[in-house]
Amino acid sequence: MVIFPTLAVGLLASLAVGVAVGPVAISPGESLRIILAQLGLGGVGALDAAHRLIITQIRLPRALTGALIGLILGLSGTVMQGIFRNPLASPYLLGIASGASAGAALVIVLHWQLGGMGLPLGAFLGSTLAVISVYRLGMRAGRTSPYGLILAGIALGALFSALTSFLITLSSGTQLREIVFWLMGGLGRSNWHYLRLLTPVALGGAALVFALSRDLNALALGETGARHLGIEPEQLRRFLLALVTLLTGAAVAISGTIGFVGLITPHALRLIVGPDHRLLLPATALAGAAFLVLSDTLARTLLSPVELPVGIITAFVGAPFFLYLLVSSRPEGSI
Amino acid sequence: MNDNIAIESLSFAYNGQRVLRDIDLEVKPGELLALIGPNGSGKTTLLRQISGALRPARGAVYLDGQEVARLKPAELARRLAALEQEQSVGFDYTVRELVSLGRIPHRGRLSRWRPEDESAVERALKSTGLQELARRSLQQLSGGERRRVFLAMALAQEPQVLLLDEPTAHLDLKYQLELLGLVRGLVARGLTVIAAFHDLNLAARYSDRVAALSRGRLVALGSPRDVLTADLIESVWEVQVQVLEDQESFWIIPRARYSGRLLVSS
Repeated sequence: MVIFPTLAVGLLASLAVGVAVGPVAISPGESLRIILAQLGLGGVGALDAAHRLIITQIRLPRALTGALIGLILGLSGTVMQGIFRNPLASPYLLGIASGASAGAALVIVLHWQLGGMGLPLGAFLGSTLAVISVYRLGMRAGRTSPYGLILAGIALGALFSALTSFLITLSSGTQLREIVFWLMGGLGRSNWHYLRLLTPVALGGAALVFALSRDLNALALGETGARHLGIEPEQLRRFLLALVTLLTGAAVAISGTIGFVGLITPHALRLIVGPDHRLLLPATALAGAAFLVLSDTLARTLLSPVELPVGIITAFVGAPFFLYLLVSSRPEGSI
Repeated sequence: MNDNIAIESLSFAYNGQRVLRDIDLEVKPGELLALIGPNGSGKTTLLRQISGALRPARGAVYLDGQEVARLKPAELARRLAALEQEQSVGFDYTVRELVSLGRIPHRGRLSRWRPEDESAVERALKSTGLQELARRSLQQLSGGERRRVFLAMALAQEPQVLLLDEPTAHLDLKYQLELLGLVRGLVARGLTVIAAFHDLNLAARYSDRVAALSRGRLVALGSPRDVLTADLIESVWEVQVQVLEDQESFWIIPRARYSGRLLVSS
């Protein structure tokens, strides 16, 4: 299929743009030489020390973090839509975003630094707590029921949002700004330390999700349909929900809640590669990664030196696209 | 005894409400057994017990001597396929993609698509007459064509036993006959089929044996001519019928008359 080389090249190109573009002009050639030198490859030549610092300590970790978070959101959205058999599901459906926001706001208001890990830890624990609560409350007669989960997700999401609003009213001016920026999502906190923690989670999780694409296909036939193909739907749903929580929780812990990537990517790619998860999952992983890296580059440069939260860009691109899909979609059954 | 399916003193209850009581039933290889009975008599529940989707409260279902409840789900799905009354699909699959899902129980999680998978899908498409439609999306098909697609998916599983829950519901006359003719052809090639029917004439015409359920009990079992008598139908459905027969076939005609405001059986 021609789509995969296209997506792979697109991702590499977006990474190149993400590294080369910024307030300080550094040519792509020089960027490449700096990266090669950093890897111990190629003659160093005369490299500008400041440029080197900008590339290796700021832009490269940020672009790579963006790629991994985009990959996670794209995959998680596809998995959630597969579990709920509904193209309107997003990774945040079960309260991950509102839980993470409340956790992050709490950490900011209480000044928990914990050696720079306070914010990601608070967000991750908040999202995990939210999903576990939704999961417990959404069970019906010992089984996960999609309706029960969605309703519990809405209710607990409202509760956690109220908690966040409460914390905002308690916060000082600088705290308020920090919370609001966190809520809008951004990659400004990327660094190598976070990246080293995120990489194994993202790649390991992606491998597990890919291994389950066949099972996700069976789930498209519903509870009994899946069982008639030899797939236990209950076990599969539990495992996938846990996986999505871990993946999205880790992503949100670093970037805050970035919207629309997880909703739009699977939807758009399904139109191109079809609903078969063996193709759809790798395609959404690549596309989500490229989409977020490009959006972040725009966020950094549009109003430079002011940096926009990337969530604004993804919403500006994503929401109209989503509305377009909604309006132009086939009238019956396909939504 | 060489039974494909054996059901032994099976009972089942939903929320304390007994739905099936002490069912004993054996189905031979290459036989089409029709399950008949009024709404709520337990046909669908019995099919779900056989397919392993529900577990018996008491008793057991055996497939070639092995208890269904103890078989691994994938092992069961390689030998037994089942079609629900209303099968829905999330997302817009093409006919071929959907039929290919029938190969899931035969393939490992990461194994590649093999020639035998391809030929099973081809055979299933061919025997259901769907080759022309293989690239079409399911949304574009008529109700009868969709039924055939799900049947093809079940055939791609290459099962020994096929369970059908009202395979002709919502189909027009032509599609009803077409689909059942197709199923009959599969039975002639050795497939065992258990199908729930509402239409007694179709059950009579296409099945080898008929099992009548009433309030969760098996009340009659035998050849269509032996089971579908006017007396049995009146006692189970509370409807008077006339049975017309000749050498080859017979027809069941309900005797209802219009009396005052209500249509009641005389």
